[in-house]
Amino acid sequence: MSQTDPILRVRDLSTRFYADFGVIDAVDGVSFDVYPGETLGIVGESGSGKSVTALSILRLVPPPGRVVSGTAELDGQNLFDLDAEGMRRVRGATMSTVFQNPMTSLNPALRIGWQLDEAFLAHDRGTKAEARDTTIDALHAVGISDAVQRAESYPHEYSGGMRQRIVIAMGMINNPQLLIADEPTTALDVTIQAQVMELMVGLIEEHDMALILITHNMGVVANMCGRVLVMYAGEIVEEALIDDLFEDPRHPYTWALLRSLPSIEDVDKRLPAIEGFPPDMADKPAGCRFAERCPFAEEVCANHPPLAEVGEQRKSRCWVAQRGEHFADRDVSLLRGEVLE
Amino acid sequence: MIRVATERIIGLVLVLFAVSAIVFFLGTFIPGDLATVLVGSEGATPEQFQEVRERLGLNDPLVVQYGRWIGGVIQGDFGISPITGRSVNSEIGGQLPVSLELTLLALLVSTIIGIPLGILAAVHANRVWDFVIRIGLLFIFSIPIFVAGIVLLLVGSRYLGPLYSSTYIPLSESVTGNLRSMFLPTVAIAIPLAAITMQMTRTNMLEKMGQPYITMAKAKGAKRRSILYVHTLKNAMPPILTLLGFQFGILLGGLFVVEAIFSLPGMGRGLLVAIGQRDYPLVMALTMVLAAAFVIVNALVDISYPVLDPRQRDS
Amino acid sequence: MSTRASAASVAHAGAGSDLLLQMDDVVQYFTVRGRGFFAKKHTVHAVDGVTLSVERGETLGIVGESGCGKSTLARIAVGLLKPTSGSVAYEGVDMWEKSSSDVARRQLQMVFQDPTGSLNPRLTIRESVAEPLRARGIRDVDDKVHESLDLVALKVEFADRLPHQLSGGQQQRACIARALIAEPELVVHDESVSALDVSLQAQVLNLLRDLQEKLALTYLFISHDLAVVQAISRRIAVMYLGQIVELAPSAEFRARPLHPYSIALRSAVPVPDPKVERQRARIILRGDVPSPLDPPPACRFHTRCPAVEDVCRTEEPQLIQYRDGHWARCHFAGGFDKVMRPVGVADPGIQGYGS
Repeated sequence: MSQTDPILRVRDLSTRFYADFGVIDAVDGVSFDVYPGETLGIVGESGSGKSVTALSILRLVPPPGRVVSGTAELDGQNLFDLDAEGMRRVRGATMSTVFQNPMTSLNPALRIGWQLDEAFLAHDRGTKAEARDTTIDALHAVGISDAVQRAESYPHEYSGGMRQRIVIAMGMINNPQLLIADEPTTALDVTIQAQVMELMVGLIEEHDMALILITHNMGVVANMCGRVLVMYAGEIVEEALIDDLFEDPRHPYTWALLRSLPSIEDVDKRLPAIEGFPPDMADKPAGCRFAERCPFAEEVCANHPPLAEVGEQRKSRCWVAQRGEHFADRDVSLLRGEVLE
Repeated sequence: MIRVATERIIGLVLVLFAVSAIVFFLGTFIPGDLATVLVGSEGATPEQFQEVRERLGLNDPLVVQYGRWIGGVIQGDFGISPITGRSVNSEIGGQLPVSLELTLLALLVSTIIGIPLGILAAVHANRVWDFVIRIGLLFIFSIPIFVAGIVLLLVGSRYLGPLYSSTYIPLSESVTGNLRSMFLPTVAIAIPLAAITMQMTRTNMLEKMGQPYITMAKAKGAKRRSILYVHTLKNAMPPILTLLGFQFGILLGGLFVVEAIFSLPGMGRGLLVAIGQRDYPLVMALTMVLAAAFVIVNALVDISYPVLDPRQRDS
Repeated sequence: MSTRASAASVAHAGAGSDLLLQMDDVVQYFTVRGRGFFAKKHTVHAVDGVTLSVERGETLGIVGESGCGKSTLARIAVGLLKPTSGSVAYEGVDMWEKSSSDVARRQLQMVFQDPTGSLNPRLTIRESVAEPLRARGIRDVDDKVHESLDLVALKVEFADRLPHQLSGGQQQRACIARALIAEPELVVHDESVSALDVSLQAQVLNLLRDLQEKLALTYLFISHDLAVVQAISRRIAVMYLGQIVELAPSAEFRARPLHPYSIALRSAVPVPDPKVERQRARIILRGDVPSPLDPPPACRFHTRCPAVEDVCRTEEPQLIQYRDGHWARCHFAGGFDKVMRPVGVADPGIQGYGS
């Protein structure tokens, strides 16, 4: 990776949800950098805090949630220092978003041309005519031909894959430096997912954009990302370059996750499985949050481990890993996947 | 679109026929009939009574009587009022403009007050302004209409000279006079009505504001005004329009209290009086007109849905 | 049931045919109308001639994308939907014949995708799980409920909670308990693990396997996720636009997929290994899946097929057996070396081309 400055610098980000039954630390002290032009994957399952992290950076966390501490510097500017108007100017311009469900991301009552034009016009970049030209170009760029007619149509006339392309086009209109995509292909059929992935890879290369790709799908990560953060129970538990992560996972959760994935190369067999469930975020364990499910847990894991360097561009939040141990060759039969109740 | 509209119109006509039949047959349940009204109290002999009934065609089967009546209605003739002696058409002709004007003014004012307040309440949901608006309008809504009407009448006649007129002045005579005579009655109706519109607007706005496409709009940096008035409102409008259409139908014939208090010769009051006097032709005619208005306005609202919600257009 | 039809479904079964469920030439059309009285009617060809049978004790997987008809087929299999034409027989008896249908229904159960949607939010877990027994008039259910919950490793104390108090994985296990309480022979899973987290999927799939062994169950497993289907199924059927395009034992399917759609499907699944992903050739199908309202003529896949030839546009391919138990619906199944165009660097490791 080049030694240029990061385009996004997140430090100690924490977001809480104040619910009736308790306070949930959805994001708990998360720090990471994103470099220009790179694709950073943030991987995790429900409750890991990956989506809330994105919403926190965008400052769009829905109530009863609130960012309670931390900074997020986009191109040097701390986003949490901005007022509402300042933040609005950043969104959709320097930093764009693609959300998971294309069926609900577009306003059903407005023509898609209008919605795309708005991305341009809301940032005072020019006249309506210029906006429409940019819109047509953007639609072409995402592979939608006869864009001029299409601009007059409504979202419900399109399939999921097409709508996602339109949302991507909307995100690209102002040539952002950073694109945040939250599970952009999860709601799509597998063959359409492949199309959209190919499209995104092409676009970010062409525009030299940084991409934060949030997903639970390790295959998508392997295909698109250069570097990965693994999140569990609101924290980053591992950080690594893509090849390193898959070859030599340095956190038991990563290791277990990779070993328990059903693969199309497997046939009719029993899978290794992680036992138990993610912790109740309203009542977190005091020590390592993965310990109760971890096949390598030891006494020391009753203390909460910090995220520390375990190698070249490698971090892990695990006492055992920080001691220098590796998990890659450990026996998969340790993952018996008993349901812990 | 044209196909939908044509179907709607055909449906409408069928509904109106059905309503007319129901109105007519219900009318036959009222004790006595036209003959009783005309000559019953004058000590006529049973033979004279029967003769009158014969002449009026009241001995014919009900279906035939209905056919005669509806035939006249289609040609625009609702018959003659036995009480006033004038044609029913001219009676209604005098009452309809009054009620129509009052209804439209009340709807207009209540919408101008209700929708913006509803948007404001939604934007400040569960905070101070929301409570102020909701409690304030709820309070006003809870005041019985006759209390509000009489209080306004007293206050108006005493203190609001130029804004008050004790009698109804038709538009044809004087516009300012007309507005003066309509001012207080409109206020009496519009403000409680605004409470309903406000509440409906607020609820719909809140529901739409929570939708993912609003989050997406924010994420792309759309301006606040656009998010509120274009993205959200456009999606929230259809149920509000339905409500307005519904309110129109109810108001047109339902304002008899206000019309009585403010001495407005409208259809609400007219209908009550006609029922009391057993003025059958007038009662049936007024009911038909009210039913027709209701059905037509709601059909119009229905037709407007595909205009507002593109998903409902035939593709 | 015609002899020819039942012979076909017998032939489609694997070896050792003790057939539990037989679907013969099942067709399901739905009529959809536009708005208004005079609007045009359209026909959705949801399932268009499926002949399939499920052997006792096996797991038959059905995989396909949206609009392929797999969910509709699931409902037909379980008896929730009466097919427009064709027959469904359980243990040799037609399911829709009045006298016998009850018996068949009892032996069939279904687990749906969305546990939150399929559990009544106002009923406790105990009440939900007991429903199939209550529906038959059995009152004394507590023991059975506990037994069922035990099978799916849900602690007894969950029985008196409401669905929203349970996690997604726990809710899904409650649904499985509900399906099992009536001691069915065949359980149809319609995307039953799709809503679960990846790490939970492996757990639940293993649980389903254990239950199958313990209770001698037969499964019909439907999903859009090929990896999940392959992991649990002994045989796989691939559906596209209402038809079966390939049917094979899982190992065969993995080694030698014959239909271009199957090959494309396998190619589209991203592999969790960056080195492989960088090198391999991916076949990316162009365009959207055509609508079941208006399926393409002749071979339904011809509009997106990278290997399309003239005959594909004019003649409809039949489902033909190429190897023992391996069927494919394609004019060129097994002979693609001349026309399959991989995108990027060619990967000679993919078999099924030019075999």
